[in-house]
Amino acid sequence: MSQPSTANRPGPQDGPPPEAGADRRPGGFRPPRALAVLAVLAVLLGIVALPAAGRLLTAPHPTDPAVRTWATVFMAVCAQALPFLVFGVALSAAITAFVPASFWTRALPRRTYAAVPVAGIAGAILPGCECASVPVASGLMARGVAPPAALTFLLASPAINPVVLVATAVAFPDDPAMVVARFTASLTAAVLAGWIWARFGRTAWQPAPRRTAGPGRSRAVAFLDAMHHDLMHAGGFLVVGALAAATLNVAIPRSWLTSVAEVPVVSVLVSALLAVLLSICSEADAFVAASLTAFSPTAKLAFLVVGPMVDLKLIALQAGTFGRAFTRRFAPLTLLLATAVSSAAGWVLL
Amino acid sequence: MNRTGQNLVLLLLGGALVKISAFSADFANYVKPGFRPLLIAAGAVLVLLSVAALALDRHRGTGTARRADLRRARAAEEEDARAAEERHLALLVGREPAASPQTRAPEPEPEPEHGHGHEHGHEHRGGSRVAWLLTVPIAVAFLAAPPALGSFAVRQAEQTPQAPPPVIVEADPVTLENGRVNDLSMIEFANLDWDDPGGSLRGKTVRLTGFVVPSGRRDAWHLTRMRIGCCAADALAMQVVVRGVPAPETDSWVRVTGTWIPRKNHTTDAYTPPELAASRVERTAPPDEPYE
Repeated sequence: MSQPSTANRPGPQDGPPPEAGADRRPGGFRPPRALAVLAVLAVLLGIVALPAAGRLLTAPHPTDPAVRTWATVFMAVCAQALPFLVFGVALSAAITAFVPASFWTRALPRRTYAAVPVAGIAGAILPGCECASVPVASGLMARGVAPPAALTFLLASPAINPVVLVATAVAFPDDPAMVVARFTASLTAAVLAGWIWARFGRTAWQPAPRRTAGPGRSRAVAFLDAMHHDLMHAGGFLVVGALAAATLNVAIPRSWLTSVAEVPVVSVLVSALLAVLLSICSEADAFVAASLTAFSPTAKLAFLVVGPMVDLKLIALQAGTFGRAFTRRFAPLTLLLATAVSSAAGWVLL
Repeated sequence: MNRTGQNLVLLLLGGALVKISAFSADFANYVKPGFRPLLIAAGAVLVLLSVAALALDRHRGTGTARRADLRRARAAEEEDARAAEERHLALLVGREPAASPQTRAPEPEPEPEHGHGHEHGHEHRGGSRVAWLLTVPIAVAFLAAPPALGSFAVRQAEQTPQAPPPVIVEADPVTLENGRVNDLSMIEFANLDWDDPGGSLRGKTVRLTGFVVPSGRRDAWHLTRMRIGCCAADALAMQVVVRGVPAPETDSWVRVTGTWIPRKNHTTDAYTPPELAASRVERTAPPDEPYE
């Protein structure tokens, strides 16, 4: 804090006027307005000038192929995830600002243990990838949905929505059982995670979503604030995930991993690990899984079930949205459950 | 980062998304072409949001101090009214107002653990610092504009055994004609090579576009095109072995005209890339859509 809040100094130009009734006060001098306008101008100028400066500096592109590939993959993860994050955040802000809490108490069973599977199946209606489901789950919690139910929604939705299931069917044309196995294993793991969290989760670890609007704010302002807040935080953590994913994507040749694919149990673990490291969007991961020819069907299933629930990008996003104490426990739990459930499902169904 | 800084970052981020999608074809180096409207919309939302937040902040003084202010507001209300009156009077009589007790200084950016109690809680420890990272994609988009994946990524993604081409189900199956050059995508060529009982490639002249990757052998090189499902992080290499012409410069884009070399033995399950006897290689500019 640069200035004590009880500052008692002369001169109205000392900081901006208080917001309450500020515009009705005559003669209020407003430095922030001038500053903001200047800043916006500077930014617009920057948008024009920066590329030119950048071209000079990097002339014309970074030359090292590894750096170039890293930059491309990093931009790819960001560009692919940001639209979904923005719309997820908008949906979440809309849930917090416009949908009354009473709607959720009516829509979901009152008992948490019953609400968990309902929320999991409801995940099928959000057509998108995992970046959108994190802020939406946070918005649901802010609106009074029991955390375990919202978490089950978070885990199930990116894996079992129609878009992802169709993509899976296209990627495995000879293997329709893969779609069934993916749906079953993902939903089961998500519901189990919700129940386990409902039973063992402690208050201290509980995800701490943003609070709902306080009194005295209009809904539009609440919507704007919620979006702004979520984007700054989740966006920053998304970049952490993208940095990590791009680095590992470039640093680890895929042939290292496929060389251990022959060993039965190890191959499941390695493909689960690969899913965590590569952080591929759930709408596209089926194509990558299908290309892992050296792996067994069960290992491919583990890749498909683990990826949408736990990956570097998601871990970072969850830490940013729900707090680190939560993520430290929740991510290993879901990784364990997803691997175990997909092994079992692969054994039975594939 | 203070509120104004945050808004500027959001504005720049939105600008970066719009720049790569609306004002250039850069986005096609990173994601599927179908993402373009999504990127433009998301960029526009970010720009609008940051402008709206800037306007809103201007209205209510700087930033998040507002919440603390609100709590104080009730207590300070009376004082406020008095001070306002005094200032008004001072203006009327044309002199400096006396000490104004209501210059509640804006708290710049809440240090996460400080002063916002239950509102901001533990979730944002480091949260506002991590927001600085949003400047990384902004800088990369504006300064570096990285190109499409090339031979480095191909070597990185290579695995044994190789994956057969994904089966494509097309509404209009390709029909090849004798006596003219048939332009094919790499995936169409690979599919016809791998699984076409009619043998419709036999004797046809085809033209393929891709970039050059050395094969490690002297008599052949790999014409390569990346195929993405969603973004460049999930790219898979589609390769064709080109014989009969010397390898052009690695990573350069070329159009190769030639005829298919039929597979010798199709009995094994192990997939190998299709082969092409080239008659002509032309350099070409990187396409706007570098991935298939």
